Amino acid sequence: MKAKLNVLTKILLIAFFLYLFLVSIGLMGKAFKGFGAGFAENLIRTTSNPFIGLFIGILATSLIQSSSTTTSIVVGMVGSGVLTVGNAVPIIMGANIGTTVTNTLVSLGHFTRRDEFRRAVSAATVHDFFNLICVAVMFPLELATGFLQKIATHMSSAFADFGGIKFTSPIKVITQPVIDFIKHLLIDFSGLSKNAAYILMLVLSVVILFFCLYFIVKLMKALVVKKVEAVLDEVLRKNAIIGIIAGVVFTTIVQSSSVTTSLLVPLVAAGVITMEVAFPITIGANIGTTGTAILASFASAAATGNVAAIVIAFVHFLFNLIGALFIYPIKIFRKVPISLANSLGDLAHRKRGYAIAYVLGLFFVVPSLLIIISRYLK
Amino acid sequence: MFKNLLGFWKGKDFLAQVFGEFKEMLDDTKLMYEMVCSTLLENVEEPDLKKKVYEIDRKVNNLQKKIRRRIIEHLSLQPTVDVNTCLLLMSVVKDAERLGDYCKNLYEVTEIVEKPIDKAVFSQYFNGLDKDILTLFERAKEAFIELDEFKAEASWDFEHKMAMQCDHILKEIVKSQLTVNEAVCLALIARHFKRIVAHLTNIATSVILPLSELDYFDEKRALE
Repeated sequence: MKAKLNVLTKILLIAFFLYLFLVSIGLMGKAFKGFGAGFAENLIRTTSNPFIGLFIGILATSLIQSSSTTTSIVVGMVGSGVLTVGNAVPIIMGANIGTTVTNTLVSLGHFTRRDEFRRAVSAATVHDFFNLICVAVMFPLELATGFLQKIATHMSSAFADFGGIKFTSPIKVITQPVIDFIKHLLIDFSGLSKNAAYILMLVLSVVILFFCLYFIVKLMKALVVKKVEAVLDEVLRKNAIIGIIAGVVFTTIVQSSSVTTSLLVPLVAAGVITMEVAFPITIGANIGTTGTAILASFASAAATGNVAAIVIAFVHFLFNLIGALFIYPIKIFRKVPISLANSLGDLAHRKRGYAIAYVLGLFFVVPSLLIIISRYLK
Repeated sequence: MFKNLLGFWKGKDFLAQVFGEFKEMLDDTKLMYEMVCSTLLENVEEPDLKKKVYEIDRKVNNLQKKIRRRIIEHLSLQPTVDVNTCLLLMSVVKDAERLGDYCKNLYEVTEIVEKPIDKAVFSQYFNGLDKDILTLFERAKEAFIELDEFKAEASWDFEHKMAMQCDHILKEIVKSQLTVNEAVCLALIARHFKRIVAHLTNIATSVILPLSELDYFDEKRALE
């Protein structure tokens, strides 16, 4: 009885935080719109260099350690029109790389046992290399052809044709009164200037978004982890497809690829599962994590009526799906990220400082330097 | 695939799984003990005994690895849940695995014994100790699986008497007029029995001893 009550409480809390998450996205859209055309032009100009966009995505996600937060904010920005879909695509790709910092940091926890550390670094960085390869292939391709944008636009228009706006309208019905109330409170009653009130609204929406995602992930994990554990042996060892599906399902539920991939690191480190078993789960996690942005895009589209938010969310989904379809089924391609991760693991095994240098370099130093250089050169 | 996905909702929880597997380890080692004792002490012909004993021992070893793997999985997924139980299980599975090893060692006595052990001589020295150990197998299992503190305490008392008896047997054998082969074999049996009793008591007393005191029930008793 007590256990059932505990589960019910968790479900109610998740529903509450999910609702607040949708409110935060709508609020963010209103705040960005409130800044006016000048702000939008400035932001669009800043992110018009796709390389800067890419590095902003890496750096921002590495710092907050949540691609769901980055992509949700980007979706909110695109929905409110302060960011174009074209400018947002590289940021989304960068967020995909940045999100891998969490499990790489988890791998550093195995620092004291050399052999375990080698396996932990390999398990963590296979996600990094997979995403880096996807970006290396699809980033120039997208710049040259815009194929992701085109497919995503087509998908979202088809979605709209099937009643997309109608589908999102229930979200609008339940979130709009609260969004309007907060807006009314900040603009009309706070005594702040309009600009200051919109800044406060933006800060508030980001804080709510961050906390909601934090609690949703925590509660969802607590809710499903026992079930996952009960079948870990039976299901995940079967085959790669089951592994991918398990990665997608678990990550969609907990709304964080970092949770999934970080759980795999100690298992590979301890030798309980191999890299070959962990890799498809990681790929599944990459696809599953796009659910948060899709959810945010519905809220954004409901609040602003702009389908572009759905387009960028689909770009995120397509990028990870195509990456998986392109790399995993072909044995030679599949071996590339695994070999690179194993090589880095061997390097870290010989000199452990390399792993720390890798984390600092890839996620913080290189993107920061390149952003500065790009701006300086401009 | 559907069956696998369906399994997602039907899976047993961690403790049910590992306790079930640990019980299996104890049942298997008890079976090994029974088979070896009936051949060694009662001259019952058991076909393919060696093959059976070694197969069960391998199974017990694999169960130990499986339980350890589950513990790592559990602590990776839920690092703060059941930590003490995990540490306890890490310790007692080693005891169960050692039970398998000592039963194997008992089997090896059947290979060096030159003529069947005389039942009267055995009874004179061991006085039904082999049957008492069989009872201890059950008591230890029940104490651990049912977390029964009374059965754990009872096993502890039982162990003390049996360990003393094993030491006494060795002293008696040293003074005896038995042939070298008989004396060595009986001494080895007494030695292996003592180790089996100690590992079974480790398992039983883990229910009542603090984690830091595991395996040191004898020191604890001496202090009391």
